[in-house]
Amino acid sequence: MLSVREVVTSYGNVKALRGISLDAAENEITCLLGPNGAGKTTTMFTIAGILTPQSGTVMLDGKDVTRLPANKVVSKGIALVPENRLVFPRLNVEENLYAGAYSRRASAAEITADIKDIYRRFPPLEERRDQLAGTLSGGEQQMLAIGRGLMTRPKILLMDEPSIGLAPLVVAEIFNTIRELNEDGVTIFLVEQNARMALSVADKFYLIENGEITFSGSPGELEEDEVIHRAYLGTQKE
Amino acid sequence: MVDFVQNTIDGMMFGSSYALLAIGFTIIFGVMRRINLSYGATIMLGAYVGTWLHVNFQVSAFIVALTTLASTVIVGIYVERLCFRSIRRSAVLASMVSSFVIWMQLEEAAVHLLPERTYAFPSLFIAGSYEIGPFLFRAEQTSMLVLAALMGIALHLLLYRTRFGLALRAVSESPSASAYMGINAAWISLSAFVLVSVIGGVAGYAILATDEQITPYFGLWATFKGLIAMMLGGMGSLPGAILGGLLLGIVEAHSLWYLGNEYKDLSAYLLLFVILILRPGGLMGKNILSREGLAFRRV
Repeated sequence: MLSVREVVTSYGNVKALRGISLDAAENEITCLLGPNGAGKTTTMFTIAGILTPQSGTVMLDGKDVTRLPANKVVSKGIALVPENRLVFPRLNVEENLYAGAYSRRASAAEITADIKDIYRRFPPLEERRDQLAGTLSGGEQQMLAIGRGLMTRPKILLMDEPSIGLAPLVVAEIFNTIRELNEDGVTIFLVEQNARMALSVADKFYLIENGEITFSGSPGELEEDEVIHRAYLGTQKE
Repeated sequence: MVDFVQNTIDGMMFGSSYALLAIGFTIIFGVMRRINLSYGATIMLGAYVGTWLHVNFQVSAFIVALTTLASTVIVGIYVERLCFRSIRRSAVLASMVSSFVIWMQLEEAAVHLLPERTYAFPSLFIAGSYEIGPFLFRAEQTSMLVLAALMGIALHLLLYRTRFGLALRAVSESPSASAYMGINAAWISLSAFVLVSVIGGVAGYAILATDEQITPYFGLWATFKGLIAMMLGGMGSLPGAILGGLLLGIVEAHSLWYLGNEYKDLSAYLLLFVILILRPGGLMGKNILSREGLAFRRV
């Protein structure tokens, strides 16, 4: 579905990604794990069109989306649920969801039906449909950010650190949601700090260290402790 | 008592056009997070093009109104290209300074177009007055109020009932998250400039038609009134802009009546001074502050 090949992305002179390649298969959950500053969010931003890579390609279903701007990438089927959620704080819950449908050429009835689906999946959002998104709790905002992403009708949902800043119970709930979404056929590409949680849902995972992919495989192929160690601290050079 | 009510009515009527100017400033501030100092001059030049046609070709007042509106939009797009599109969002001062420079340029252009100090401005409004009970209403000012109210309603429907309005509000909330939703922020900013130019064109036309004259200082005047009304209400707040505009109009009308013409502007500044000390964010501006607070707390 999504394939990233030899992507190099820099901030000025600093190479953040040194030629990374990875794949996310349809209906699977693919995770990208790694320590702070390894290039996780940069990878996400490059796929979503927020950053343009110097070289390499990003393909979705065989179509090149490498150099499209973020607002065009969405309509190709790549939705980003950004780190820290970034809901529109002074739009109400329902308006946030409508904003998600902005790029679609769909009838009002179709969009209303999709919003109903989101409410079915996240009942708290329906209760708070008229409430400003900025007044929701962190967990509810994360639901809203996911719902808003789903409203774009993506082929693949990119999730950047969905657990960040949330209480452990809420994190568990969000990961349940991720699992459920996947069971319903949503392809997910997940970037996470919380390696243990990520491994519990992942079909496949990559380790990124210093802008390079250092491991790819299924959970279980690598000792969990080692994954966690490397995801937090990187490989220690002796 | 009759005087007081009469002044309040007069003030509200004139204040309605201040409110439109303030809405223009506040929308640009909301969407771009930058102040467009050349807004008043944009409207002035637009009206000058209309006046120029009138002076040289004796076109009808209706054509003057249309030309004013159309040229305000064109000048507005020019400002957007030069002072906002080409300057990145975080360079707040660069946009402000360049819009100030363009203000000077636009004033210069107006003076070259029509070099004399004052020109008559043709009005579409019916002049005259009528009475309701003890109160006197000027027909032009009533037209201004009605026009402003209609603009306000149209704007509300546009912002809260349309897809474009939702996108505009989303961009002013978070340009990056809007991009993730497929909203093209550059296109929305351009549209916002067209929108405020239409609002400004209508407001400018209504004010000039009521005054029946135009000078190159109209740009400065409109910028002052609009900025003061916006700051009174709170930057970025639409209800604040309306409230600030009406309040400014009312205070001016009262001070004109009770204190005299020389105190009119002084009391406007005094009002701004007092409000900014009591409520630094403006009357409805608390939301802006608490919004940032909210955002940070949730992060």
